[in-house]
Amino acid sequence: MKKPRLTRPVLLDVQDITRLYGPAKGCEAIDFRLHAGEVLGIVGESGSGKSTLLRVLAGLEAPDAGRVVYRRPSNEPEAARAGEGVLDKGELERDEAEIDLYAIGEARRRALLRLEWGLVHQNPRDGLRMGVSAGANIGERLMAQGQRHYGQLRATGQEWMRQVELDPGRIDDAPRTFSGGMQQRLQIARTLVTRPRLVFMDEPTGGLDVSVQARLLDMLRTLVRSLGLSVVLVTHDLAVARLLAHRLMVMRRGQVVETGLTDQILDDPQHEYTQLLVSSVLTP
Amino acid sequence: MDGYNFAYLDEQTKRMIRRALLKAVAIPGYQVPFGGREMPMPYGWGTGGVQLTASILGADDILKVIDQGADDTTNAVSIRHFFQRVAGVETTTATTAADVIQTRHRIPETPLRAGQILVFQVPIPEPLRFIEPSEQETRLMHALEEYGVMHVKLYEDIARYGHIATTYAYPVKVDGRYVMDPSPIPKFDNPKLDGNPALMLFGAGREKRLYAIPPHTRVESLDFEDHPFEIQRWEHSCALCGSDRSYLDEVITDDKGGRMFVCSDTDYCQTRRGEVA
Repeated sequence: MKKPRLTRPVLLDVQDITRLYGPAKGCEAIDFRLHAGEVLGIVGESGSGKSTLLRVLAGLEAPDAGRVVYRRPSNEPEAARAGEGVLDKGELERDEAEIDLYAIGEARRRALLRLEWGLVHQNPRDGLRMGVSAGANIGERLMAQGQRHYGQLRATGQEWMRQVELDPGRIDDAPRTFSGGMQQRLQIARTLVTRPRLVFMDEPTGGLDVSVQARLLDMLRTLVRSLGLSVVLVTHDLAVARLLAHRLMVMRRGQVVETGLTDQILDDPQHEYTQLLVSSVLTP
Repeated sequence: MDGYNFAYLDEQTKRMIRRALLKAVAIPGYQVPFGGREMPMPYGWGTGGVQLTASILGADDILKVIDQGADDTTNAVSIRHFFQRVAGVETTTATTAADVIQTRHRIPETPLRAGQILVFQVPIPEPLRFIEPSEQETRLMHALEEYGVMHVKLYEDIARYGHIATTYAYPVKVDGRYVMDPSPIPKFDNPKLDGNPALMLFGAGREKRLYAIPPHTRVESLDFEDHPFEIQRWEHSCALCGSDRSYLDEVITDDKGGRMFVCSDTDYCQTRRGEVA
């Protein structure tokens, strides 16, 4: 049996995050570390604050208290990651190792979100531009980084459509002509095209039927492994968490009630709420 | 004319617009909000341009007004007439003789000289509007120079039509900073924006925004490396003056398919005919 590597560097250091809209509405005193290459699942019922937490982590909403610190791996060769070699990292200085997400200016935060992070929305319509073709959707982040070669953008677009198991021949079709599952694949392609280090996913399989869900999960698992992504995955579906996540955080009323390895939590839940959650899963 | 201030607008309004214009000149391509006034004409007929012209017009200035390049179309005639009545300024159709030229949809073919001012009428000043409906968001995008979406539109053109099919209001980058909508001029005129010795002012009446390109400013049209910016070309020369380097209008002459191509810039065409004939 292969031993897990325990020396992986910390990528995201979340320190005592609080964002409350009212008593027990939002998230409170959340504290955890995400390591490189790790998939962290955040589970809990509706209204438990998991989406609020994700918004704070993803730089979309400032917390009331606490810090989100992003530690950029410094030993990685930048050019090898960038792939195409045309990426302009402009506003982000290369050698900076530690970035406090809400201490830097908005311009740099948005550059970070655009260049090194990615966000997959629950509803693909939130993440896609419905008015332009699939190819333009995939190419948008590359164009925002300064890529100005149409032929290359198109080739990259087709390559990514293959990666997410879409027909590359449909590159010029509008996303609205795609089915729900295909739209979600397209959104994932659009996010991953810039090879982000860290991806946030909000219920990526929500609203899809089971067979489509299974194929999407399978594809996601392959991509996460082959690209070495670190993922924060928010879901209420324990089956999705079991398949994708290495580690789980269980949330209830804005607080973390239990954390641990996925199998450990799902097979031997300690907290009574987790026990309730695990026992509520329907099995056909 | 009795009962009106010189050039229709009151002095305080003109001062406010001039102040906004100074800011616009100081930040080339940046859209400056201004307190647009009701003008005695409907929005869409050049109220933005008229307010700018009214603010910069002096009693000794000579005014030229063109609409799609022509001096004799409705919009041009009525705006010229308006300023004749409310300012009593001298007007002309000759590009070289004019101090202030108000224009809709064209830049004159005759090269402009230093000291001239070109005033554009702008319907939609925001180049990012087609893809981002929120004004708050577009302002942030301008502030942070997030202009990737402009290329999404051009990409979409090539994907659909095989070439960049945007032929007017073609987006430009001014002085390497702000992306700007040059108003609905044909892209044929875009190269004339670059390094032009004349001052160019843009006024949008309905949206209450104005912006400017100062003289000798670098203006680049956006494009792709493998699909560079190109202007329109015609197989014909002007049927009247024979020019092969001006922007041509296609004119239907009968109902049997007869047509001719003539210069859209009437002053340019007439001047050439005067010289050639």
